[in-house]
Amino acid sequence: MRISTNQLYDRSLQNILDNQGTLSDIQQQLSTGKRILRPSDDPVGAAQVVRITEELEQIEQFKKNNILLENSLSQEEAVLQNVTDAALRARQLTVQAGNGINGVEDRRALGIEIGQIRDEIFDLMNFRDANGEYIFAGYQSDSPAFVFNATAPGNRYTFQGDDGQNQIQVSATVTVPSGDSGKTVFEDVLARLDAEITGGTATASSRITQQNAFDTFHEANYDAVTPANNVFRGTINGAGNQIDFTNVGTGAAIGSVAYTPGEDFTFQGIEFNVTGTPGQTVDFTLQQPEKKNLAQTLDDLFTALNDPNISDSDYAKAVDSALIGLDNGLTAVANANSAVGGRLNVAESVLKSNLDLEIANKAARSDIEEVDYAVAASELSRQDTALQAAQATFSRVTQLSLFDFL
Amino acid sequence: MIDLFTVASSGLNASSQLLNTAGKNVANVNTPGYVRERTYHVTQELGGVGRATTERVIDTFAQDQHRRDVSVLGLSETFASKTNQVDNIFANEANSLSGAMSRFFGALQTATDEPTNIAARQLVLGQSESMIGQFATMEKFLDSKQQETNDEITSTINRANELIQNIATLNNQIRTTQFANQNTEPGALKNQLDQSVLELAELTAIHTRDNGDGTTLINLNSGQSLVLEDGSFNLFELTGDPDIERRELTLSTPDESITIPLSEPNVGGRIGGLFKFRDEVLESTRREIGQIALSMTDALNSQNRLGMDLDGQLGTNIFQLPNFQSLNYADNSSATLLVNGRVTEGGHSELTSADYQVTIDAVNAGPTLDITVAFLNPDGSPVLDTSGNPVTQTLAGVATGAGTFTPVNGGIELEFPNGGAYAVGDQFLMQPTKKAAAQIEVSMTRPEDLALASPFRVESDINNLGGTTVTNTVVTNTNVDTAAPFAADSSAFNGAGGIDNGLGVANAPARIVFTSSDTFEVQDSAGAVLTTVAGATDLENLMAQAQGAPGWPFGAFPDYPGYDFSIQGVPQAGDTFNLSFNTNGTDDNRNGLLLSDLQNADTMVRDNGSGSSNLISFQEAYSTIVSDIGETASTAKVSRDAAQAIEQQSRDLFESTSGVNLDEEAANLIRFQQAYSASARVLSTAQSLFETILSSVR
Repeated sequence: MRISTNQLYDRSLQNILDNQGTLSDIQQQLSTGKRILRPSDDPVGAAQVVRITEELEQIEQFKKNNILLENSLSQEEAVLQNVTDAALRARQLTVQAGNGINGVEDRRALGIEIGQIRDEIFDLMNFRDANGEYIFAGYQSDSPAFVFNATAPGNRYTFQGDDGQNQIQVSATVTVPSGDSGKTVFEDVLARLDAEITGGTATASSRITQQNAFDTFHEANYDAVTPANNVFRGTINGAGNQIDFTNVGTGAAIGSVAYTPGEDFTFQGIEFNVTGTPGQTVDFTLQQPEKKNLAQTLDDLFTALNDPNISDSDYAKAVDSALIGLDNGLTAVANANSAVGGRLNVAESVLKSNLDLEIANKAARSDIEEVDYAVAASELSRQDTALQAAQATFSRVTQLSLFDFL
Repeated sequence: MIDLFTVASSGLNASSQLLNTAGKNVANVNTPGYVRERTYHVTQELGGVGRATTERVIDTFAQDQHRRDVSVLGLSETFASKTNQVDNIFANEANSLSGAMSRFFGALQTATDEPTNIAARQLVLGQSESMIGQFATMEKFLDSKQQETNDEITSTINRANELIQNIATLNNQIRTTQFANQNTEPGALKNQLDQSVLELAELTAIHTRDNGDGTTLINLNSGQSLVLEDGSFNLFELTGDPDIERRELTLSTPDESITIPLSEPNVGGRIGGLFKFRDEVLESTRREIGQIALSMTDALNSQNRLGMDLDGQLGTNIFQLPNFQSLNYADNSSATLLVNGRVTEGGHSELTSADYQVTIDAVNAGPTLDITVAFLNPDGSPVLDTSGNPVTQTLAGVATGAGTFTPVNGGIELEFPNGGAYAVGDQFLMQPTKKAAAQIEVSMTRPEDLALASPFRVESDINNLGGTTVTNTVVTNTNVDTAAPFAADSSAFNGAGGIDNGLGVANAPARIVFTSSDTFEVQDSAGAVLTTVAGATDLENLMAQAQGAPGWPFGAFPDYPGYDFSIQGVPQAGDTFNLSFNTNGTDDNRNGLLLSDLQNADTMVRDNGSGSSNLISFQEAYSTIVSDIGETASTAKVSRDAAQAIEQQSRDLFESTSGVNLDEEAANLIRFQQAYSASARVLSTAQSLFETILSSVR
């Protein structure tokens, strides 16, 4: 084919320019370490890199969240452990207080320590974290979770927070509670269930001697909606050798028990002492289940220990109540503690899977985005050679001219 | 003897002409558009060399091919180089919207982890400023590209018009010259003409026709004439109706009596490339980015409004979304009419990237309007649904007047402030997303206003005996309306730290009391029973169950009370749950978690509303834009390279016939020089013969 002189120049020049462009791209790839310099180099890859980078940034945030979560859970764990230790010590003292041989002075001495443990536990229940937030107050962490009101009728230590429980996001799908409300950990603890004699024509006294049997009876029969259904009446039969119990509200018969006047008998865990004639009655009422936190339980015991005029039966009741209250309270704390432990395990395993994901994502991103230095370097020298060749041939080709020979 | 002189001198003449032509070829070796020339002679009867004809050596088929290929190259080169600039800006990590969004949501999560930490909240506001700034930067870049493209279109059109006039003028000159001198081709003029035609071909795809008298007629590829036989010509014009920023190409006769709209993608050449870039890359990318910005900010606003801030108030908007104004069509009844629009609060999951054309179908007494809203693509064509039909919506009896907004499909609402002044047939173009990315502002200034808490709290009564847990407290509506007449979308929130807003019907539900494990009463705060739900099969969403129960007093308010919760476990008779405003609930982060969840939530419409109901997340949408741009840019590069190769080939083909080869001309010079010498020799021979004869006579 006929070639015009300009074509000769144009073609050689175009080759050199093309080579220079490619060389510059490879040089840029090598110096940035990236294969994808702009989205058009690999549109699908570029979009993947955007998504993977987003995921990595999220994982980074989840790791931060995880650290925060572990901090607050560990803190709660430590507080709960301290509460448990203190409550166990109080339980020991309570058992000691139940010994019949304690005199007024001994009780007062025990009372001093119980009082201190009460204050310690109260303090722990109002634990504040580094930011000054009351960790057991639920959402209302600006105010103390529990307050003491010396003049309140009934419970003097009461919860004033709420049920709030914050969650922390540790992965795209997993949120873990970062704490517990004092309501579930401390406040929502049943005190000893009780029944009182509330009427009847016979002379009677009662005491709960088999708490477990009574608890079962109470749970099965207590009616929170209709108070009348909680009143039970025992009637001495015509022969005077048996008492028949009926529910006053519903009229249902609930059992009979053999009766000898003046002798103790036990019905559903309650030991009765009834003196009466046939046809006379004794009424007892299931008391509304009370909820008491550990501080309140210990405060009740403290009051009993410091009361020099307390009757023996009231003292025994107070010790019984304290033991059951402490046991229930310890169970609640232990439950919370194991929940915290479980959450810490979840946090840790999620952290591990996040780290695995991070490595996998980074590997994926570098596969997509990063340059293979071996390939790029050899490509660089190849293009370099090509450019040199193009430059060398340019002068050779264009130097030739017939005019030189004229 | 006399003849020999004549022959010799004609030879000398001829050789000198040949040398002249070779010299001209050498001299013009670098002249653009120069076509090499050859001089031909014929032998005369008497033995000498006859008249010389100098012609351009040209392959018109190769020339036509070259022109077509230049058009294709012009289009693909312009498109590729323009797209490449956008490609580069998306490549820059500092500009990545995805990174900005990740940083914002990261800050939001940190704040959510510790809702009472003011510094963390401050960081969220800082990051939201920076994220919005990033959107604005991107949009401003694209906007400046659009201005630039518009300017370039204007100057290219001007150049094309110059060329068209130039060609028409040259045609006239060639016709005159060729008529006067039948034997000599007016090479210089024709070269100029061909050069102009080639340049025009680069700007727009044309079809040329040789008229037989040396002139060239030019049509657009789509058929419209540019240069006509009678020497007249048509010119390009730009109009911008209704969007002056989005010019449309028309062709008009010199007296502007007839205007023909052109379909821009078919124009080809650099002009076509510019239009293609504008319609396929710029306009759609701007709208898609605006769509992400609007959807995300509206979603965050909506969720924040459902929360409670650190001051114990109901949440407010974080971002200020822009209102948008209609663009009017030129043939509307009045140029002062307008339609305003804004994003419907909570419209983020319907918002599309489409434009909306509002047509007034009827003006009724009232005044109210019947309107049709058509979804448009950026290039003005209708959006088609999955069955291929245009997506439109007709509304009857639309209220008018300032401040009255009517929601339409696509998550926007429209205001018709001009009342009865609209005329049937008036059309308005709404572009909600085109410029939105640069117009959003962060309106929240106090970090305390970030509503990380939920305004609603459920507390189980401490004396409850059933083993129950409250789960899944949700707030769906916090609209406050405290004065009759109450809006239908009102909630129980009273805006003053309570949920005792009974909307004049009854007191708000404040307590749930179970009378058996599957029956519960909904009571107000005083204990009056609002309704009783009996035989509940599950304890999910108790308020929703109450809404369906007999005697529910709030039937006229479907979104009432705006809060709900579920219970796990089996409640016992007497169990009570108290519902209240989350007073002092500063450490609550429930709404913060919901805000952070938006990062991964599929809350955006995928495209321009063609009916696909698939929702995607914001960052997914962004990565789709990146890959779309990348795809377009990479395809553009490939077709540019292909066009370059093809153009080079056809240029080679053309040049191989018409280009000057210096070696060839050197050889010719020697050849013609020798012929000249030979002819001179003949002359000297003739002279010596003449001398011989003279001397023999002497």
